[in-house]
Amino acid sequence: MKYKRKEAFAALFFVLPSVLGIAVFYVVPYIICFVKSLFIGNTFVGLNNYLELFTNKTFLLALKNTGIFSVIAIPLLMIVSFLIALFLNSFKSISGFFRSSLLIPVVVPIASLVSVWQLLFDDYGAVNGLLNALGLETVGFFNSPFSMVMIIIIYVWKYCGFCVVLFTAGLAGVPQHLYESARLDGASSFKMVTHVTIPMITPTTFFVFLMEIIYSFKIFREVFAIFGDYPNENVYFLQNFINNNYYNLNYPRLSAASIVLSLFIVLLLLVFYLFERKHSFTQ
Amino acid sequence: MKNKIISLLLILILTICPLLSACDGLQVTSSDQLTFYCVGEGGDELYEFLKKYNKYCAVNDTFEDSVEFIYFESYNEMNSALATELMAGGGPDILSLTQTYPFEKLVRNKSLADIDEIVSTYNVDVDFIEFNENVMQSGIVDGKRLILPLYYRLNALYTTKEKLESLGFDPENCNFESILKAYENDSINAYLVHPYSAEAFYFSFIRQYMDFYKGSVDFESDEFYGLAEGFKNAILKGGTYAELLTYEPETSENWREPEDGSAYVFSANENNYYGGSLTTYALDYLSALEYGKEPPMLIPDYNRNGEITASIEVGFAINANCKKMDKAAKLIEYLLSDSSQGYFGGGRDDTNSFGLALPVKNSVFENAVTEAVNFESFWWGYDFDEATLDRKNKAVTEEYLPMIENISSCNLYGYNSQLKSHLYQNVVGDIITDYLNDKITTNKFVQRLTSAVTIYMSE
Repeated sequence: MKYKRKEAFAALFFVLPSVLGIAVFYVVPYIICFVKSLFIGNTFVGLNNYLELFTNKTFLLALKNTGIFSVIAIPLLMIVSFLIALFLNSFKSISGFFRSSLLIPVVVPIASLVSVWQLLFDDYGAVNGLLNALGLETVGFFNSPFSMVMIIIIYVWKYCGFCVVLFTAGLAGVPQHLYESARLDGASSFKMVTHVTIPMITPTTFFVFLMEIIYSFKIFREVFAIFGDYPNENVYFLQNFINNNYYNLNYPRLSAASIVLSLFIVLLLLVFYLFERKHSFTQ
Repeated sequence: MKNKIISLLLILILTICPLLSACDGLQVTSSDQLTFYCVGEGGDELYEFLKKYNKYCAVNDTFEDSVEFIYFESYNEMNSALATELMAGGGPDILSLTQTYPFEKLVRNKSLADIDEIVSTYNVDVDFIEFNENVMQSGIVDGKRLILPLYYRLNALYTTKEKLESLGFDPENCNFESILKAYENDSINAYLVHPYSAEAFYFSFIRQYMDFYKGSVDFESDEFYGLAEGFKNAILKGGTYAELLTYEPETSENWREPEDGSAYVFSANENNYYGGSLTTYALDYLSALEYGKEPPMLIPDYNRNGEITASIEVGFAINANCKKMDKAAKLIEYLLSDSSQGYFGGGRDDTNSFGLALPVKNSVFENAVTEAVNFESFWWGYDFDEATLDRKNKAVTEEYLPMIENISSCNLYGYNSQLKSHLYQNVVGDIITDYLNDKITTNKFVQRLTSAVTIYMSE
């Protein structure tokens, strides 16, 4: 008992730097942020900032765009990367090469990506040049609803490789005897994927989902590099709202928006976590 | 035991080092003095006034009331520090209007102290009835005096009657409407403004179509669309903006006209805005006559309502987080005193200064008028004839003064400092330069402008 307590003490001792780091750089600022969200200037306003936030049309626009992006881009990336992983899993001899190739977009610098994208999709870019040559009108890719499509394509293209690697690792962990049993029972390939593969890789799927949410917030770098501080209203995301309010020195609104965003993410992850706990077959 | 000590030391290093390095970047001050952030020496007009105030404190043995300057390498660095510190309940006590802060936002989130409250709490010897009402009004939002203008300038561009006549205009009835009409008919062989001031001119035109406090923009109207194209054509005259920016005409003697024959409707100087003090106007007038040139003629800047406007040249606000309001009160009293106002407003005859801009205090302004009328010589012993002085006095009292007296409203940002403003730097600057550089069509320009400004105003 004494030894165990000693061990626990040593363990706590070793995690102390991390705990302190998290407390100082995350927990304390989060609490400060929450407190600030209840004030305007030096006046306590209670939940007024939150109420104002939900009547602010720019915040609602950002929320809508972020929602559209998350609902379309995250499942799309999951489906595409899962299908590629499944495909590569069937051709093991070439999968190594493709897995490495698919990782290249992750390491491409944002500046290069933005340059290429502008060369292609600018009003005077290659794609519009082609459209004009075909007698079609110029499409304002950077100033139309197509901006959202562009960002979704960039997101899927950039992070697909990483998700494929994760899914491939998950697929490698599925016991082969389950497939053999299913095959003996006369299951089709589609059924084997839906009834064996997907349930068996639920923890991987959860992890991929988590990573995709993180990456969906990282995509702001690309949005910022292509469209600047004030993009057109089709690609104005919550991160733009928060970032701009920081530079606009609008702290009450910034704090309230950050708290809402964090609660939204926590809620999303909680739902998925509970779902994963309920439907995981790995045990 | 040895291992425990080593691990304890490691933990201490790991936790303390990041904290120390984090604190190192913050220019937190625990000074008892008022604080003011600035970038280098002389980057801000208010800085000069505060330095003068410090000298005044030193002479009166009230060092504790003086202002401490905290210097930054760049505006970016200063703004980052400010952004962090304001949120933590700190920041500089004095915020200058010529700095790059988004004052509209600071007003809205109540980061600025109510100056009327400071004045009444600390019995400051200031009665705001004695100040220019229209100009002072620009600092009042929702009944609270949050920004204090010190000096202002008339929003007018300068040209000469001779030049207007040579370009086919009637100087008596020349306004932006007639000028744009001439450009539409392609009957004018001159650039509207100097290319270096094109962005400032364009930005001041755009600002007419946005109302920050109401949160509305009017960029999609036919009027704006037509004027946006008209002004662009008048600025570029078929050339490209990039070409114009690299072209540096040799100007003869002073600001009037390039020697190579190229011409501008308004001053050939990159600062085509007038807005000087009354004495500066008198000086310019006499100077032109002395060198055999036509004297300046002022045309109020484009205003969609046809009104004459001004902008604050020097102004400031007090941070609501300020813990030294008593000292802020003393500073307000000093900056609005006759002595301080007169020194830079051209209303004091004990200085050699011609003044920087127009003072907000009525009594000092009246002194400045007298000074301008009495201004008779560039230097000791230099005399003008009576007729020249009469002509100058007539111009001061019958041309410049009525314009000043007819100022109906005042903008927060001065013509010269507006390009440093947060709104220009972060929101509309790129859109304007893209448009002037012909990278986007007028349709796209209007679309992008509407989208960006609407989002900025409501976020």
